[in-house]
Amino acid sequence: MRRALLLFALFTVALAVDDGTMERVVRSGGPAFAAAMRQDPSEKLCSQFPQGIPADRSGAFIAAERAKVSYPEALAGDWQRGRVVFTTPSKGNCYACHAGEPEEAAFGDVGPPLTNFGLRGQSEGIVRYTYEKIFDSWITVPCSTMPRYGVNARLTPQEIADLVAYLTSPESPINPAVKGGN
Amino acid sequence: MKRRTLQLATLGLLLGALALALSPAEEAKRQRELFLKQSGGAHPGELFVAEGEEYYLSLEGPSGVTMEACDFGKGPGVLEGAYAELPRYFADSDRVEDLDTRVVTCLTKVMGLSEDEFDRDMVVSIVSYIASFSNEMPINVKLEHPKEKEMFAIGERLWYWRAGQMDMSCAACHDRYPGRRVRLAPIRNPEQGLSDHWPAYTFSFDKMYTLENRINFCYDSIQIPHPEFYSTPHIALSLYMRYRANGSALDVPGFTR
Repeated sequence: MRRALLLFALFTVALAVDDGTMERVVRSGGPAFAAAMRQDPSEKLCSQFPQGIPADRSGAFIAAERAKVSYPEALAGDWQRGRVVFTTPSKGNCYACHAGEPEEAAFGDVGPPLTNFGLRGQSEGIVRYTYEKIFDSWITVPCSTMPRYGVNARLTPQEIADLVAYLTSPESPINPAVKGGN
Repeated sequence: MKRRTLQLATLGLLLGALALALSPAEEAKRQRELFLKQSGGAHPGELFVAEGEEYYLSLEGPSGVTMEACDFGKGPGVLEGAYAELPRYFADSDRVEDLDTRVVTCLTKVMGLSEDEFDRDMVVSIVSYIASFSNEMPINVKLEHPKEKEMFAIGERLWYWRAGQMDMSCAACHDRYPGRRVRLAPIRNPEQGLSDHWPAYTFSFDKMYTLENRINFCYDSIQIPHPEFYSTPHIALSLYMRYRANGSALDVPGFTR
């Protein structure tokens, strides 16, 4: 058994490609490709452990991610503006992976449905959780497929706050089952 | 009003079909059959194959030979089954090449053409022609030469490489969520035929595209500007995906959205 493990370890080492080689490979794709392929330490770790980062490294990972979040004055903004962010492909593009308003049939199912997200309530805790989830999904699920919209400046803090309002507000059309809503 | 009802009914039918949860491969097959029915059974990919055949037989470079002098893995002039074993190591260029790259090697090194004497569209047609000789054959990519092993390892690292504004990698969707959908597009892993039907005619662009183009779509959609054609990332990812798909039958020229 030990011998098998040792052989397996040797095999893995023999197959591994070092970072210097990868640097050259990425550069061979051209300057624009190489620039976009640069990784931060968290992306590196997620790539190294695609089945999940080791338990003893998740504490430091989450702390590092948490430190990246910046907050606007109000964590819940304008749901109508948030609705535009949600649907716009160059912004949230949320329908790519999530169900939303019941009338929208062309949605992906990579992430959980967000229809009636507002049933979770509108408490400060929920609002904060929702804001942080969009700003940096890796705080709650390290290496989640969901992009870190705030960390990568794909969305501004204000746009994220508007999304939070769209998801939690009883008036939002994504929440038809929430009491007091439309 | 009547028209609207009809539209709604069509939409309902489409959604109903989705609800039946066809496997990604079945869904692709269904879309293809539907399109072929509408176009009277003509596969537009065959036009590109025919164009490629013309180039293959008639192009001549300064060295005075046609493409028949080139070795695509089975010896000069032999096309049957060559694509099923690509990418592979070639001793003459001392590197691992996919079919796109190998066609460029043939045009430049063997025939002596310069880079401005051919363009990407020509390469795509020639790739389609050569690939068509491996249609329905099982993919059979080998990792024998050390450079093939290294190229596979590079492909594997690229496959898992999280980067860009979306923090995405190939694996974050294709391995974690095969069978699910991004909007309405089904996600497949390599074993489910992610790469088996390229080069393919893509009807939304009315163009023929190769596996290198497919890799480019993926990078562009995750906000990473795609690598330049014929570069190592293309060859490595093609080898990686095709190795995982070994044994699956090629379906080329393919047909896709």
